[in-house]
Amino acid sequence: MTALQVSNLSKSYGEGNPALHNLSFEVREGELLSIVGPSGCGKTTLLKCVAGLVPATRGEVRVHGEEVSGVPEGLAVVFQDYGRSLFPWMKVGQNVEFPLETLRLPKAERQERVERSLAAVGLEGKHERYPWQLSGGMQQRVAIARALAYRPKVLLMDEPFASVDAQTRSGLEDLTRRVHLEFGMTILFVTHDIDESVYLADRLVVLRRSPGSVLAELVIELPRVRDQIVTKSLPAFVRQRSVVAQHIKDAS
Amino acid sequence: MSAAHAPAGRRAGGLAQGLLARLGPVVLAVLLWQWAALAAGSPFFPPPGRIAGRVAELWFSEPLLTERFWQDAGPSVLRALTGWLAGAALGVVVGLAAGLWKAAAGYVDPPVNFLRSLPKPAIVPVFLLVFGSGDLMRIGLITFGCVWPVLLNTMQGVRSVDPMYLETARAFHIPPRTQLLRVVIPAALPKIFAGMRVTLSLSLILMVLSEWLLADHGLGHFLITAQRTFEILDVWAAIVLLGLLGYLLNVLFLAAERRVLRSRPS
Amino acid sequence: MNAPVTTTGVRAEPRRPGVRRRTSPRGALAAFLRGTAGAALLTLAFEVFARLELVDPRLLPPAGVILGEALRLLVDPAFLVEVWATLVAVLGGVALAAAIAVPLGVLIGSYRLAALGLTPIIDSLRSVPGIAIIPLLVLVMGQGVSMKVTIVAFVAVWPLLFNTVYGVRGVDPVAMETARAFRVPVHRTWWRVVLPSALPLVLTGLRLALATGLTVGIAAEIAVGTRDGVGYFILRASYAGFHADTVFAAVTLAGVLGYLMNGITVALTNRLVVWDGKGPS
Repeated sequence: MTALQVSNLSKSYGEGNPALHNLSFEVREGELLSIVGPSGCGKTTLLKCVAGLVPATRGEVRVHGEEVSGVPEGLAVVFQDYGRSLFPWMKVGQNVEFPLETLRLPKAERQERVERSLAAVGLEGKHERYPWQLSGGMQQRVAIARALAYRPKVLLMDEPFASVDAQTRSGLEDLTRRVHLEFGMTILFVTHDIDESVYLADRLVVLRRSPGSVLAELVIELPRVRDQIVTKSLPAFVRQRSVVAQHIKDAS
Repeated sequence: MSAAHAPAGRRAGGLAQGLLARLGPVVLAVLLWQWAALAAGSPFFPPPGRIAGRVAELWFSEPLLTERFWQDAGPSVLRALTGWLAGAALGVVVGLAAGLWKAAAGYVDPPVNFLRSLPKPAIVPVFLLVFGSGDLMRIGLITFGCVWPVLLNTMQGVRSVDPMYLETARAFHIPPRTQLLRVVIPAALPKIFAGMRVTLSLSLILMVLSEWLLADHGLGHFLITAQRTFEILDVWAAIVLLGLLGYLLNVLFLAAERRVLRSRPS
Repeated sequence: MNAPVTTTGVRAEPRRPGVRRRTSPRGALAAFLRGTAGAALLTLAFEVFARLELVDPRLLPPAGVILGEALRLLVDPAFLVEVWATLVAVLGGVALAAAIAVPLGVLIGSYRLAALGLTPIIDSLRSVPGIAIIPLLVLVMGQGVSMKVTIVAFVAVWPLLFNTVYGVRGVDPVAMETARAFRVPVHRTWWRVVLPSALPLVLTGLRLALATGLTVGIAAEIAVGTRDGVGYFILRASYAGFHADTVFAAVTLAGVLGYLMNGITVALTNRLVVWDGKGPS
């Protein structure tokens, strides 16, 4: 089953300024696909096209077979700038609940989803705090909880851990992996970090820059349940990381 | 998005569209006003065409400006500007001193804040009675009104000068006078200008009010006389002229501000 | 249109995270004492100046006398009635202005076309010094409270409008994208994202509007001799056998009123906008 299909996608901002050129790939149902590439390869643009936040210049994006024009249903985004994507005038609980109001869920169910998703990211009992009273890593967990509570079929993550420190980062990576298995949702994960892309992915797409296009695709041969230390010392991990690094180096 | 592939010819079309969007509503509003005024026939709301005619007849005929213009608007504008500039000068000088004298900060701020929040028109009767009704009283009144916002802003501007600038200047042995002229004042300029922008409109209000209560010429006097004699067209004409002057002064001020601050990041 | 302005006319800058000032109680007390000392010093200077009798003491009474009279006025129902009349007109006018300015500001801040079309009309209207239209308003509406409310609204609308516009334009694009990504409908985005985000600047506009409204409200009371209000009280005390002490005391109390209105709005802002400078700006 294909959850997400990108076909011949091109995007340019103004004349002669292509950001993406003729991109095609697909994400299967329940799969975690990493997109990795150097900065300036149009990763964020790609994600915004998929999310329907900006229209494509050519080509199309289909989510569960439906062509994307505007933001599709059943899709959630975790942005890199958690500080700007969480609303500072809403408490943590309100931030998580806010998108659920649009779904017109009864109050009790909204509450329950907020509880569950905050618990899933290890933030039980933080409802009444404001996001800016939490550390960066915790804020990004709130953003993830918000996406989880929304129960999306497809979750887009745009370099979500680029602005947190290294320790927090590995914790958040494990969290992502865990909720992916637990909630069984399809995830498109965009990053410029090669280790991260390999560690997280079931399958991986490498992009080249100017303009962004698909350089390579590979299936990651790692166990489903992973561990920062054990997995990262597996020969398969080391080999596939080198393959990706080589691709990126060759392209630049 | 179509803008992405817009051919060059579309640019000109966009410009025309922009102009239409800018001017269309104004023209529409004036036409609507004209139509409504004619339809209503209220003596209080003459059609804009007649008001414009009256403004032109009173002040803008003969080659360019009439003698009446100089009689009515000249002294008024002069008073407002003199008072405004005097207030600004005083505010800057005292504000610099008060801002640089760090120890004084806690003592000076509350009284200055109080004087700034004093509704200035309330002191007009006081000025009239204590200092008489001459030009000096009027200018003094406007000066008094315009001093405080500039003073406060100058003080804040001086205090918020990045200490790094001053340390740099000291490290290069720049003498204090040069530091003041080349570092402190330029750094405080945006705030000084902001204060002067606030007081510019205040000076017009105080000018009108002071002329209104006791004067035999000037725009305030013209306005109140027109009202008392029920010359409604003249009341409207005076409002329009005051609006024009206010607009002109604001434009000139903004141009001057932009010129002085042109090298600043906005 | 001008940049958003604070009461001091300075471009409003969001407070940087972490620099929100937390003064210790002792620091606050010291600041209060210094301020009081400054005010006392100014009062003393005024007292000395008046005692020198360079100006006829019947016109310029010493500070002590004025303060005594001010204390008397504070409990004089005849004066408090006038304060109430001014307050009602100013608050009513500012409320009316806010009802017009905030929705209009959201519109102008959100749609480029609305900004293009309305800016020239707004610029020409706000160039008119507020008090210039008082004579016209008096002819049309008389000298009652509705005239005062209208003139206050006319001058109070601009700071509210401009600050709302800039607040709305300053809404973080990431915040807007987040709302869009979760398919939050437009009206809910306005209520829950745009308005809260613009709130700090709207409240700054409110503070400015109250100050301008009070200034022009009192100007109207003095200019046309409305039958009530602090301005009218001052005018009457000035002309009916000039009671200098009463006039100066009333002027001082008018200043206190302005000071308090400003202070209350600042306190309200600090209560309402706990997040300012801590997230999207």
